[in-house]
Amino acid sequence: MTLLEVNDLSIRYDVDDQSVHAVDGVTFSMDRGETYGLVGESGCGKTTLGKSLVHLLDANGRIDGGEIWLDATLPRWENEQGEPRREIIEDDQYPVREDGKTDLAQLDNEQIRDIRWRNIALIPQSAMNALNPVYKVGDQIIEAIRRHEPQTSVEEADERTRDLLERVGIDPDRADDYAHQFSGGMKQRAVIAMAMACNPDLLIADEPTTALDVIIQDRILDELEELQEEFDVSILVVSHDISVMAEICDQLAVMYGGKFMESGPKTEVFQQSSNPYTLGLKNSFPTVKEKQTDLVSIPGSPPTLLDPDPGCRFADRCPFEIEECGSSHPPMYDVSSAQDGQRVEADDAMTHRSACYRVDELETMRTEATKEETWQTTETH
Amino acid sequence: MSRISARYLGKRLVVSYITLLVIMTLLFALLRSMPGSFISSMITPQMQPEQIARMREVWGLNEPLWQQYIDFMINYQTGNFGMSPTYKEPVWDVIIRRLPRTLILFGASFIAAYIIGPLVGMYLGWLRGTRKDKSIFASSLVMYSMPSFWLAWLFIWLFNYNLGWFESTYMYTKFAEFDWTVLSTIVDVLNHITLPLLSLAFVGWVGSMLVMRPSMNNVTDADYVFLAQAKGLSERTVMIKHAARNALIPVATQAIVGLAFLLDGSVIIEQVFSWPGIGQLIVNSVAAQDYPATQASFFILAVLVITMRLLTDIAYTYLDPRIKFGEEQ
Amino acid sequence: MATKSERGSRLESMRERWEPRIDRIKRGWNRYTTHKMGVLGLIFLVIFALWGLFPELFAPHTPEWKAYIGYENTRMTGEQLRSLPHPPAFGDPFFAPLGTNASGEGIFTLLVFSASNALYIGLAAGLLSSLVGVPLGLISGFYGDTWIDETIQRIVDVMYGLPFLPFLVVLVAIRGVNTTNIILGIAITSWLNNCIVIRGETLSLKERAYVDSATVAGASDTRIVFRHIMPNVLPLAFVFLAQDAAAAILAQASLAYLGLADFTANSWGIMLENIQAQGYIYDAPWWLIPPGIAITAIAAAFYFIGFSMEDVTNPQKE
Repeated sequence: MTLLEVNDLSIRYDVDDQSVHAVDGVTFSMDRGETYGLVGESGCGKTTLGKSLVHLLDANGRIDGGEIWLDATLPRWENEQGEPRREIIEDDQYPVREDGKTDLAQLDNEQIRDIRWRNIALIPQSAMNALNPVYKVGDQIIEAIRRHEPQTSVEEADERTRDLLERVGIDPDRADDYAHQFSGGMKQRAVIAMAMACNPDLLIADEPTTALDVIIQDRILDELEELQEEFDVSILVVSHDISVMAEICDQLAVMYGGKFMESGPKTEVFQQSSNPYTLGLKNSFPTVKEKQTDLVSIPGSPPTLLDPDPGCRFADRCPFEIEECGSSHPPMYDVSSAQDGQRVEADDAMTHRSACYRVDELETMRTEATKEETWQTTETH
Repeated sequence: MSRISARYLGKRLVVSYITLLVIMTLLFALLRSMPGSFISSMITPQMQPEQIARMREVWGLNEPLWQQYIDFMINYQTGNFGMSPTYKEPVWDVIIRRLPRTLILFGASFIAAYIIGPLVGMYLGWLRGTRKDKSIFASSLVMYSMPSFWLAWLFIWLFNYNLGWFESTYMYTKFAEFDWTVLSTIVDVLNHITLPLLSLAFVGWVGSMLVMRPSMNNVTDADYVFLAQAKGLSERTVMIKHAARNALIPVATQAIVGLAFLLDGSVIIEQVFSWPGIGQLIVNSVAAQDYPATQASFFILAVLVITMRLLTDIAYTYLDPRIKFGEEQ
Repeated sequence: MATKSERGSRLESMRERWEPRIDRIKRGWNRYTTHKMGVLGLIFLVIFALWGLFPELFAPHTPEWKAYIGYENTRMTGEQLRSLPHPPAFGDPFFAPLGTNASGEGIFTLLVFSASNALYIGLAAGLLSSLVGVPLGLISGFYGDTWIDETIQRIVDVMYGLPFLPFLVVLVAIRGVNTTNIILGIAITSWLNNCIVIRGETLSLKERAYVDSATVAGASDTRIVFRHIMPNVLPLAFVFLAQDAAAAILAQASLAYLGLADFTANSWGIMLENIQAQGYIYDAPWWLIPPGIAITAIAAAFYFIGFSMEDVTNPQKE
């Protein structure tokens, strides 16, 4: 069952008179119970994409086009079974589809607040600082519960809060303590407990392992996996750390310059990488399993995205660039067809796709990419 | 109160007491260092040498200086302030009579200033960088720059002289025929306190705003504010309950100094409106060279400032839970 | 004797050291001028400075001038006296664009000639306050959490218990009412804030890496403080200087109102004290309003400049 369907989403930031195309025409889908990863370098747009789903962009950011279909709807549009009411679906002024999905991109400030936390919970980077220092930790969780389920009494909410803390491994009595009395790891888990308080459909984890040491990193990843089992929640992970993605994701998308370069089931994207950028990334991460090879880095730096040139965003740094790459950013081609030598645009957002004009020359690209000289002879312009 | 916060307050209490002792010493040194003697205003040309000698005896001026110092310290801490030549009564009585009046005016202006200041600071900090922010900020600096007595005159001129809405002298009506019920007394005092309060608050609110505004700026960038928004809370809830509540903490630090400035303002305003409080007392007794009264009113004002500071320290433990449990700032 | 090449390289190394600093000042100035508030403040300050330096150029008369009789040593007639204080007159019977006070002195003239007094007190008290507060703050912060810091902090703690204006009143009344005492008194109470904030900045700057590397390289303590920390703290000190100057001018005006002013000088505060003492508050708005506006303007100018500088050195995100 599809939970999230993003179609051709574009996000812009207005800076003085110009705009930064932070995210450009991105399309992907997520199933329920799945973990989807957005991976890429800093500035590639992955965090912006995650935040944009619930309109948590900076003041100068806005959705510039596209649709975000979520398999849920506003409380006031629901009937008793939690499905959108008939008249809501039929009435065109409400952004609700036949299959019950709501277009989050069309919601206004007030409406999106109902979706936040209740359906989609976003945990920011360094979640440890996300607890307000002047209120008790438990009270902050109660606040979340009563915001979205106002008919809950304080006692009920309090019980649920302690229960939640216990489920993430914190002594329920600690609900009466303040954030500074918690250890770093405990704070992280408290925030996760808070995120689960309203039983959201989707959890967005923004850089969950950044700024943590390797041991805690591992623990957090385990906890995310446990979360999924415990709470049956879908997770969208945003990170620049490929190894994290490798561990926990079911599906993966590689972003660059505000666009998707490659996406699909994790194993396929990793083991049968079909995009020059992905191939380049793989080279720059040491793996324990494969035999030691020299680290190869991609020369150059990411584009600024301020009124960008047409053409493939990666063209400048790509060793496989051809003339066609300058025309426009390539569409997402279906990789399995490409393996048969055909260049066909993918129609299913969940299959293995790659945005590269030379996707039909996979064998060549894959072999060449492992060689150091390929990357060193690239001239950046 | 937990064991640890009691220790914090205990320490603050000790420091406050020592501060008081040091200030008393300073006061003693200052008043004994002036040319002429302490009682020079009380000596009239007609006095006989024996009278003068006896007066010196009574005031302890024949004792060695260190003895005078000890007597002074003990006397003052037991409430013995001596006699006032101008009021012809124990200074203590004068002080006790006037203290509540100062407390009313000062207290009211403190409440007004520290409600308006943080509120405006909260809104300006939330709206940072916008034109509204800049223009209101500049206007408040102009208000802050006005001499309070001059402003008071303008208010009197407008509201009392021209419009006759409020009273401009004293604290309550002095006519014998006045009908003294509880309600009429309250209304009467309100009538008299309005203009002084307005003058004080007009300038006094800016101090706390100047701290709240940048504090709000800092807090708005914090992760917990972002998370509060992510939880779907309304903008007002995020701004007030999450951001402002944290931004208030540095305002307590400012209050330590801000209260003293408000007190300064009260001294001036008491003069302008002939408000019969301690501020008026100290100014008048300095002019009349009534040094017992001067000394005592300075002492009381210092006690007031130190007490306010202690109360602010207590407020800290409520504002910032991190203080409560051992992390002293 | 320095050879030509030695002199040349010395010049070059001096230029190397100063160029980035001049560049930074230029950039800071550019940013400053984007603040309309700061520019306005600067303009007013320049006007007042001009008034202070060349009062004869800007005032129609001098303070010795009196209405009707000018600079003569004669007396005014009873009728003339009764017309004082006189509202603004533009030639007939004399020239006084803002009128006169009860003694016949021109208000605008007095206004211009009092500017130097305000500037002097503001800057002197402000500088004195900085000269005490900044070094103490630097020392206290640099030797943070040692006995040096503790001592200074205790002193500050005690001084916070001192009621400012009452102290000034008693001090000036007892030690004599002259400008020096007033400046001293104001500086004594205002250095506290300076010290505390500079200490905070020093503490956080101390943590920076380059201070550690300078210590490792064997630099002495004073060298570290002066070469590395002070330049970064100086902009903040200027901000406080501006605020202290404004506060000092307002404090002096308050003291004048209370009758504790140096009456041999010309000041706006004294002009206001006079109108109150002579009882013309409600009758002579041309006398009442301009000195108050002048005080407000110069204090506001200092505050504008101070806060604009603060924004330049400590930019907040838009």
